[in-house]
Amino acid sequence: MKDARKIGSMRKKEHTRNAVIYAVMVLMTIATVFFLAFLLFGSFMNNGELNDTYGMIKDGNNMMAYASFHILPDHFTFTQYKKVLWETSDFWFYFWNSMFYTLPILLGTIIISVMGGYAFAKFQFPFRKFWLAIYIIVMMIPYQVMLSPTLIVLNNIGLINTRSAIILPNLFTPFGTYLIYQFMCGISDDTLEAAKVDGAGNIRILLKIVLPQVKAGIASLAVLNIIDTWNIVEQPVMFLKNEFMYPLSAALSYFQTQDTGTAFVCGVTFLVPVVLVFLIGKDYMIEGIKNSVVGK
Amino acid sequence: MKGKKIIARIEVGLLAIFIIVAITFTFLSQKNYENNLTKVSIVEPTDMSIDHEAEYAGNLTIDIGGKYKIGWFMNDYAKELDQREQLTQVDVSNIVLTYKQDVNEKEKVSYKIGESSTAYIDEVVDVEGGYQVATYLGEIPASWKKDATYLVTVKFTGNRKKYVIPASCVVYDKQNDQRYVYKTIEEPKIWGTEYSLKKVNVNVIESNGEYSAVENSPGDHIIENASNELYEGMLVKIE
Repeated sequence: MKDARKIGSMRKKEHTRNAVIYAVMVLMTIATVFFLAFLLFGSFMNNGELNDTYGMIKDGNNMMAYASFHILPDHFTFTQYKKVLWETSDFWFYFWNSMFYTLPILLGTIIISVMGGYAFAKFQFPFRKFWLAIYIIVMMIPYQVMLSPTLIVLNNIGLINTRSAIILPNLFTPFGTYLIYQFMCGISDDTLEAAKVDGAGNIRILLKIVLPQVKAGIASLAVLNIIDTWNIVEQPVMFLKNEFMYPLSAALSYFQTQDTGTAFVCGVTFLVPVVLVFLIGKDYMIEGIKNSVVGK
Repeated sequence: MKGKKIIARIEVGLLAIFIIVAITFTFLSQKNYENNLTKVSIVEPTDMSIDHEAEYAGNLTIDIGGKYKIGWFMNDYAKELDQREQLTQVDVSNIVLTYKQDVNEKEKVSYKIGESSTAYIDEVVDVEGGYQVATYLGEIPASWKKDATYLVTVKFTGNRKKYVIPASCVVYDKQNDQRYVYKTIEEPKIWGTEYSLKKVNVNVIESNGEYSAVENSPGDHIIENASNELYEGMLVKIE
């Protein structure tokens, strides 16, 4: 009887705890979805409605006008989309700029991280643990701190205001190496030894035995890397003088100066590829993050 | 598990569709943008002389010495022409008026150029509001009569002017009594160079209807013709 009461009380406590957790999660979801809805619905408003609704927000110091806030547009229209995506090509130019940065960085990061991770996981060399610790320490440093030193280095080697100034520093991510290292640590050394006995070299072992086993790690690295590069802002702004080299993420501020409708449409369209990539790779991404934290 | 796979395929498909749309829209939007721009043709100011052909109504008189004198009034260029070393040629013609009745029995007057004679400007006298100009003729065609009105055509080439542009470039703002031209401003843009319009006020110092000479340089690329009405800041495509 006593036990039953105890169990009942524990269940009640658990229910309460779950209810609180769910309530917090629902609130957080609403807060997140609200901004997405604000962006999405705003992109379907026409110019007149946008000016009526967000006129004051756009013109800041024009205190004679007031923002009549409402989320759902009075009349759904695609005119803003037509204007930004169909009648002018500026958006697409910056979109391809972003692609131009994202793809080489993705490819380079995977190659370098796989090789680095393989070396740390399966090679014995002096101060291996020390170098790994350095990697982890570097990973902990916020990349904003690294901006100034990177700027000085790029300036000294004459890469400022070139696309390489964005691509090269982003190829070497300690996180990528560490992530792949964690995945590779889970591969049995015996398998690799057996392959060596059979006459396979390191490259062959990496390509034929190791890589197929760390596919999930590479996929999660790819997803995280795409999202990271797609949202890059600080580096282009600091390293590029020529604004036409900006990726879409950095150029969004330029679109915001045009008109409110343009800013909304650009914001929504900017999100589309990265959201799709996230949806495609979310399982890998979660696995990758889990592995990088707790190991395999 | 099967549902998850289908969803994953849909997501990959959507990404592929997005990339295809992006590629297509990139080309088409650039084409649309260029097609929607107002097309303009531009000219550069040239250093040249403007040819003039002005017509005046002259009067035939006989002076004390018995010479035939054609006199007419000019309010421009006369002094300049008088100061030139070379003589300025004028064509003098009599005008033959014909009266006809149209289908509504209304009288219609038409004219044609009759007999012509060539002479040179001989005399320029300052008068109020302009110049009284005259040419003396030794002989006149038989049909010409004293005190009748004659068509005097003065042909001359103006002095060299540094900034001569087609007269169609010059726009007259009646409200502010100001003449201006549109010039293009080049701005490097993501897809190449973008051209926007800038209004430049000009002072026309000489014109023959076809060409106008302006006082100061209005710039290098002046709009001569456009496919739409122009305004300052407008983006245009140079053809």
